Amino acid sequence: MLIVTTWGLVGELGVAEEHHGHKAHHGGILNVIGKELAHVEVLIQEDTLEAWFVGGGQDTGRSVQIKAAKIPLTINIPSRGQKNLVLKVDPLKLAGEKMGYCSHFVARADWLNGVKEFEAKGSVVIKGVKEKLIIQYPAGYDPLHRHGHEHHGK
Amino acid sequence: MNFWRIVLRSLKHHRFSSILTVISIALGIALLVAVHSFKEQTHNTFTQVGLGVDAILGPKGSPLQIVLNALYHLEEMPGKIKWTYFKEVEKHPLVVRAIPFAVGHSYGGFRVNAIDRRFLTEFEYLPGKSFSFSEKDGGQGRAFSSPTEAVAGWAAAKALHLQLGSEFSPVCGVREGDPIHETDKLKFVGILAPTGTPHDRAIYIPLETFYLLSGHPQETRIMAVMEEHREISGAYIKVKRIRGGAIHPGIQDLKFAINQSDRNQLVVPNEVMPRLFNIIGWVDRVLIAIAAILTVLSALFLFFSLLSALRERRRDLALFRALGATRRTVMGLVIFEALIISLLGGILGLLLGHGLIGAGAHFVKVETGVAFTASYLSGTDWLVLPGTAILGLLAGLLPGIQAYRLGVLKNLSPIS
Repeated sequence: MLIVTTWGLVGELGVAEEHHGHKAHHGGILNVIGKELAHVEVLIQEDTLEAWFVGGGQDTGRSVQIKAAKIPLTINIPSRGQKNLVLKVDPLKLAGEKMGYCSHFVARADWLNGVKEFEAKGSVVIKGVKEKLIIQYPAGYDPLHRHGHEHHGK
Repeated sequence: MNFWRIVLRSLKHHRFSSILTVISIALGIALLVAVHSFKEQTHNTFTQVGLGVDAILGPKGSPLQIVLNALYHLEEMPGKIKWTYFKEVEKHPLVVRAIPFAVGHSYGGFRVNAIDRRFLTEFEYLPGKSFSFSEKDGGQGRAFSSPTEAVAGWAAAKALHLQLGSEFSPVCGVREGDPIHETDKLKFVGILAPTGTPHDRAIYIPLETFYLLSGHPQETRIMAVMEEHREISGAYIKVKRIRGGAIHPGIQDLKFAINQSDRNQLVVPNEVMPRLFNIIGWVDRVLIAIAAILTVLSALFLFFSLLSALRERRRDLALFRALGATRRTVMGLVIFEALIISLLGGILGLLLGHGLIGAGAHFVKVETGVAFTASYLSGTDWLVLPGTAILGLLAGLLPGIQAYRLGVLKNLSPIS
């Protein structure tokens, strides 16, 4: 009976799958850009910081391409002071992204090792609008502080 | 006369109502056991096994539709993907094996899956288990090695009475009335040993044969030689493992990247199937509720039949008391009678429930290739006998108390 019901409900599930979760798909931390025009998901692993630009609102499963080769950031690390970091493009080739217009950026620096907390500031042009880029790690930047919005990773 | 003989004699005396109660309890329990067993076995098959595939590379569309088509040979694939894109995914450092396939053909009601030969020789449908053609495992022949050869899954071969050397012409489509590639004759050179998975329910032909079938238009035939134009339905993907054998977490990044592309998506069966079970969970719940209501009604029936029997036996029980039986003995007689009836119902229900699974398993295997086993013990099985014993005790408690309070003089006094 379960199996018979299975394909009767294919259409139903197809509809259910349209709803995207407000979640960090790479296990990183979501930070809001502008009035939730988009998010930047940030993950630090050893000496590497990865950033994915993804959709706003619940649409965090969709990438948002940025027309930039690099994004400079000023980073404040508690008890270590201020540092500069440049995010460089790293196109998601399987997504069909090209250099200079992609959603994935990476930065490597020895001093990133062991960093558990920081705040970074920069700017980025998203959908033709220049927006401040604020990253709060690991809390996640969300100026609207809406309840029920999970800005953390998996 | 000892205690147990009195209990058995009483049951014999009320055999009609006792048998009826045993049967009604057994039916409720059988339904409960069968529903739970089917639920657990279906869940295991569709969610935990994964049929040897970590992910399916497929076209945009419903992920569930892709899983049902690629793994369970149901539904239809929502589109095609480019061979060149598949090759890019195959090169990804996380991917350890990628097996391309093209669906859309059938024969005798079974799907014909045009697939890379490595599926038959290297693919593991369960950890450590590859397909076998060995006669001792129930298989025959060998894997295909030329475009005119084919291999049948065990269930397909059995249902269609296929033999080594049999020839067939694939149907171009999966619906009744779809055209047949009449001029293309493919010969069966192998029959796979049974795997107990939906892989048994398909016929496999070489991937290149898909493009070379005579009825296909030129644009399809050209795909056999020109890779840049070639299209496939999808690919089975196996990714690297981490310690403990778990799938590498990087599969989420791979999925994210592929899902951003215009025409492709990566579907992880173990993520999709539990969502399906969440949606159809109400079916289980309704069936379990029906079984539970049936069982409780049976217990109520037992309760009322014991009460009615007690009224008839008041004089007998009063006589026992007069002959020296204690109040506790008389109460025990009634309660143990209820206990025996409910336990008999429970045992019969277990046997019936597993019999139902055995009968249904054959139907499910023929229809879907998924193997269910009557001997599978679900979590419910272990609770059946204690549960029915408690039900029996509860049903017998009030009549037992009434028997305990029975007035000897009042019930032995002449009726007229």
